[in-house]
Amino acid sequence: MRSTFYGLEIARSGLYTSQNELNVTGHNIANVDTLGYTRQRLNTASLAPVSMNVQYALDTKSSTGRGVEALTVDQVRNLFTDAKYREEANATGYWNTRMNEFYMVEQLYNSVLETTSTSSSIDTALTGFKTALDSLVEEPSSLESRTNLMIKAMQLTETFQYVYGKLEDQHENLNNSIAVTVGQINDIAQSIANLNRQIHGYELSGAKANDLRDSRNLLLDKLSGLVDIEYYENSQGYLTVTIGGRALVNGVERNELAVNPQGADNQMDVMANADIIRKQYSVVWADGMGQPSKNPDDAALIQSGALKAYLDLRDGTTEETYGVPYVASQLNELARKIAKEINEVHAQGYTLPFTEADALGATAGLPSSTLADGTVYYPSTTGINFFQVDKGDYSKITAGNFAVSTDIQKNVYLIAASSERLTVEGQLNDDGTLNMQRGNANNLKNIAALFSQKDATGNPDNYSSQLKLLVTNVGTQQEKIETMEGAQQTRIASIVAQRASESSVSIDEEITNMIRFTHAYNANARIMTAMDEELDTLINKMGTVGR
Amino acid sequence: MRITNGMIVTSFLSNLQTNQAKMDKYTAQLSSGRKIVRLSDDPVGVYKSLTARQRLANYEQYQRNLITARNWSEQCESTLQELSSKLTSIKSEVVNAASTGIKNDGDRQNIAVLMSELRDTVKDALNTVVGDQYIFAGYNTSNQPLTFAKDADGNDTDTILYNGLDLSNVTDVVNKTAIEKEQSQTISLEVGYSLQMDISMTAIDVVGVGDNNFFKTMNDIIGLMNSDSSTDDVAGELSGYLGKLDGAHERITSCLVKAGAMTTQIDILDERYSEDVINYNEIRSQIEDIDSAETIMDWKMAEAVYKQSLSAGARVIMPTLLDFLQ
Repeated sequence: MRSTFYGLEIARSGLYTSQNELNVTGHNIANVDTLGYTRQRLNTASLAPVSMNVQYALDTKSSTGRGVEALTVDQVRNLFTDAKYREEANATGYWNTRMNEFYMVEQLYNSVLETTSTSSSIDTALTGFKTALDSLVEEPSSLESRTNLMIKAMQLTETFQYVYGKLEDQHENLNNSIAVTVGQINDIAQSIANLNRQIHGYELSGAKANDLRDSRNLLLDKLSGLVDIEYYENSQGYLTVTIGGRALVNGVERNELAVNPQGADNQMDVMANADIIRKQYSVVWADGMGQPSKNPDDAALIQSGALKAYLDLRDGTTEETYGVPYVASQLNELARKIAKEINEVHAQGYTLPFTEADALGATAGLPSSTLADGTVYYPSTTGINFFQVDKGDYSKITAGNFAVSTDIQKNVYLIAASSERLTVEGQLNDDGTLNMQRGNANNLKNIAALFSQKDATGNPDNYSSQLKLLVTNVGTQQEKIETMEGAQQTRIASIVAQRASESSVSIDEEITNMIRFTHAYNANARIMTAMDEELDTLINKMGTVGR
Repeated sequence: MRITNGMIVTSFLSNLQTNQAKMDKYTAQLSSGRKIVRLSDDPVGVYKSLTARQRLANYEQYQRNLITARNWSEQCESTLQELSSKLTSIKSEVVNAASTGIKNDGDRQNIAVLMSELRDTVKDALNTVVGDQYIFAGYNTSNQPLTFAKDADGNDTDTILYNGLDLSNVTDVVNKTAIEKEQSQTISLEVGYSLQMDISMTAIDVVGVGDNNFFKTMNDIIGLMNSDSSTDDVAGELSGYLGKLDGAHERITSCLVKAGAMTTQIDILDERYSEDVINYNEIRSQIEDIDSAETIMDWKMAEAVYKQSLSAGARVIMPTLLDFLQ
């Protein structure tokens, strides 16, 4: 037989459920702007009529259900879209980071676009050097023109040094960014492990930990921008995250990534192509004590994401990888070429003779001689280098140590303009000839000719053409990166839209639902009132006829 | 597809971002006056622009060198013209003296002194300078090319040396080689692509060597005047020297013609380079500079699109159902 208060129970379940639904709606609206929030819905089901003692019930054929039951609060989320998003976030993180970092390199060379002669670009410095060379050709014995040439040469080398210094700074920044990113990855892994524990605990009761899951998903999104991950969830709610096949998070356990400094501390070594290495960090898995593992099997396999962008830019030494070391090595090659070629021609020319007073202490170890009146002078000599080179090893020259020879900096008489030995007034050459040809500038002309060299096929192959190639290559590379980044942004935008379409909160929808549930609540309340009146009639008014 | 407020806002923001980026690009172009603001805007354009700039720098250098060349050639021409007229007067003096001029020792003295002075004038003329440099001295631009030889006591003799060499002595092989070497040393400047122009000539070219050396001829004449020969013999020998003097005059004239040709070439090159500089500036400007009118139009359009997107977005993102419920 049906219970007396059966109807009240039905109404009560309806009220309770409507309240619940209103709560869920309120939760959705409150979180309409929360990042990563997935809209939630209450799952309800109608309660079947009581099946016990049915053989004894008198009115089984007309029995009704017991009302409504709230089952679970579910998230509306598509795991497949999530997976697609994380794939794209990987590539987006890579290209975005690469674009932002390479932008700094492009900025270094942007100054060639300036048109004023006071621009700080290498282009201007090179032209200034050539102009000074040409004016010295007109009057090779003029001290002012010689000093001008030396100053312009120093400007050239200083510009090289400046650009190289900035590239080194950029390299250092990239190196540090790698360490910082690894730290971020570890932090996220820590949070995911914590959430794993919490979610597991919460869901033991059978409820769904929706908001905790939202947090965990948000962390996964962030992580996939940093590094390429694979992940899967097991039946107990534990999420396993792997990088390159090794587990970063495994349930409540986690492994750490660490950075291992390679190379000597604070030392700059010179390699064949890439001439910058410092304390380069390599990314490895940490051992049990949290220290970076020295085992080569423990090197982390990073293939995409922001971390890979930092690694590629820091390490790229070829035209395909186009990292900062490659840009630096191109600059170094140009500096080497200038130093070697100009030195070789300069060493064939002869310097101006000068006295002790002119020398200002820089005599380059030249033998001295004495005039008839007792003045000590240094005769014209050959074999002097214009640019500083250490023991004739040009491979040791980088744009960072590219400099004019210190002897020439102090004593411009050592600039070898002439193609023949010059003599001092009253002194003869060794072969008895007198040669006072201060106007001989043939060696300088040979140096100037280097600036318009061509290669075997007749194409220009000189310093300006190499500089042009260098500069436009940097521009082309940045253009390419920006194109990839733009394409990537478009792709990820459409997936974000898809995700938002499924999971994000629409205020209009929630308001509509709210109206619905409010009506439902009111209706249920009326049912309750009706039942109450029924019972009231039953209890208070039945059997009082005639009273 | 289900659309939510969040999606509308996101899409609105991203389109706004695109429009702003476009406006930013045109603003940067307008404020810098350059079409290519960053290298990545147009790498091919950057390459072409750098090439054009380099050409311009080359032309400027050639033009500078042409100025120097012109200074030298003008000075050279004017000196040679002066010499030419000097030689005319020398020749007329000699003709005069040979025909009627020498009556007594006093006349001979006068003529000797006159010849000596005229010879020194020619020497001084050839020691002319442009700025600090002696232009008839070959590579020896910081010293006077023509000097008097000194005798044992350090006094000046009559022999005139060029850079320490006696030009009249070509029988001595060492001397001859040295003279030939000196003769080849002309200053040249680059005035075009792989184009070197000799801007000087040595005094050797002007006065000649060996027996044809002008100074030797002059010294011979002076010696003749001061000698003990009789007046009639002197007159006869004097006319013999006229041939040498004519030769010297011809040599000077041909040098003058050479100098004139050099000036003409300088003029031609100068004019050509002026035009080339204009052309290359145009090319460079086409690649690098903005067309103000076009860029402003583009900017205005970008601004209009931006304003439009702002206004449309504002209308869409504001109302919700709540505004319409009682």
